[in-house]
Amino acid sequence: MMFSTGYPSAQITNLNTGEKWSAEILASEIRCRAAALVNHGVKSDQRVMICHDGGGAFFADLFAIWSIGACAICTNPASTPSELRNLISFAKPSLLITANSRQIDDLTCLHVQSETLGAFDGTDYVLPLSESNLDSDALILFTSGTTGTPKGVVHSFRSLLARVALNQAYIGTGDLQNTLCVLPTHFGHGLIGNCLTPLFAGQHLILANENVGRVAARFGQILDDHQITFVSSVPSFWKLVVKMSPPPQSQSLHRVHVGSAPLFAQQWSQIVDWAQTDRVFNMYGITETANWISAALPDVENYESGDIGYGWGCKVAVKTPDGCVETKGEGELLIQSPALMTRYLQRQELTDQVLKGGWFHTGDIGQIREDGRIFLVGRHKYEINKGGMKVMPEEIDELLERHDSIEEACTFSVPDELAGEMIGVAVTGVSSLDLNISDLKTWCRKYIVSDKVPDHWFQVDVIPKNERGKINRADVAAYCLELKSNKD
Amino acid sequence: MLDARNVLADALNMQAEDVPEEASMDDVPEWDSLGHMRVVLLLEEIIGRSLNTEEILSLDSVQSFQHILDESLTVASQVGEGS
Repeated sequence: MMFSTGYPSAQITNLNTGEKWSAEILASEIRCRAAALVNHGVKSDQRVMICHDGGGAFFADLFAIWSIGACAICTNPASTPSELRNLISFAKPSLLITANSRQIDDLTCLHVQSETLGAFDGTDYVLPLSESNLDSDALILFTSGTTGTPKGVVHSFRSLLARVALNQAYIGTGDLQNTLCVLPTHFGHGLIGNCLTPLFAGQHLILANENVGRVAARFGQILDDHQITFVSSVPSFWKLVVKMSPPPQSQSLHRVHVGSAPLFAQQWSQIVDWAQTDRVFNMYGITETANWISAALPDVENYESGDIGYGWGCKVAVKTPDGCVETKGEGELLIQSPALMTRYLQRQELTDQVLKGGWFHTGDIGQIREDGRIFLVGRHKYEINKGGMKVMPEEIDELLERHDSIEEACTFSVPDELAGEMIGVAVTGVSSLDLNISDLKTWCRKYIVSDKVPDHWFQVDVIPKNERGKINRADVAAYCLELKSNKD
Repeated sequence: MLDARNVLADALNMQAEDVPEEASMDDVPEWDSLGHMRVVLLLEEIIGRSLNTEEILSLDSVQSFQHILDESLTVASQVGEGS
């Protein structure tokens, strides 16, 4: 398909490993790996799961999958075996590609290591004509799936191409010249916005997405050394940078995107001062729209928190509390975009809840002003946003309630100065004995990535419920934080 | 003398006994990049000065934490005595 060729000047430098891939190397690696995939029996209507880090090999694997018209599932390399087995059993990929050293038992699909694919001699291999088309499935990103039924956002080749083309049109190729990615590549923000956009514009992608603390401490130096023109990240990363790193000496940065979590006025000013550019954009994007759909370049004098600016090639409306769809006013934000997902994988009911009446229902509460400028004012959902990583509280509840010593769990968001939000949980034990929180954390790490393990634990006698016996997470959070405050 | 494990545990929202005496950042899952920032901020508050980039990067184990803590508090007490 179109991803096997067409980026004649794109290059990848991986600061995590020191490797540099020219466009020629990338094209050759894609070809070897595509041939290897066909040799493993992968066909264009099948799925291949990638579970390794975002170096050159990651992109070669991804583009190889697309070049034979198959669908890629990009997952967190830190996923536990339990999480991977859950995702595989749900998405049924025909092949799993992992890092070179990773061994996982009891998989229900074929497992190969990335290096093996790259070593395949595909020189004289004739790839079969792909039967997929623009509307075939191209990419699945899971926004939940730690426990229970995963939620996989499915994008077609058409929606991805639309997103990348719109990003390039709104950003401009010049700004993308030396793009730095400090984000993981299994999220829409890092993968589509920060990596695919510059690569498909034929520009230089520089990866520094391991050991974030060290990258943040040396960030000014990295910008100078590689003459970085564009970087996108999350507010919590910038808190580390502004605190830990001296600013850059050269003024190479043309553009900065900050997204995936709210950016407040004071922090925006700090980033502007540190980065020595006022082209610091507050971005709004969601996985379902293949990342960015609006951007705000704030007015220096009058920054308003929640300002996400104007839509990027999409139509935005609000659904007012009385159910009307309006182009101005306040309500749930609705989107129409050529970059919209096609569905949630095997979740028709869930898809129908968000794709209705020709609109995607975001779950975010927004306000559209007279001039069309959009402001975020809240959320419908209980999703926890920990430094840009979204966590569904129900998943953590479900996991904890599997533990022998826990009777009931309620997970909620706890405000945090650095991360924006952290994960709190109220738990009741099956007995009156004190729970060993340290042991519980260790147990959790067997099943979920470390980042999702609750940060604040509250053992309570009973989890408060409303008069109908239902849990309101916000009420439980307030109850637990008050208990803590009284204790302190 | 302040015990590094107690301070680290405080910054990382853990119990001090769950921080191994010889622990490095890699051994403590809570000591991730944001955790590191919390550690840096608390340490700066205790010693009453900002850490430089090299100190921040060297702060990667209980031992290195204790070293900076002891050194800074000793200097601070000497300055206090001299004034």
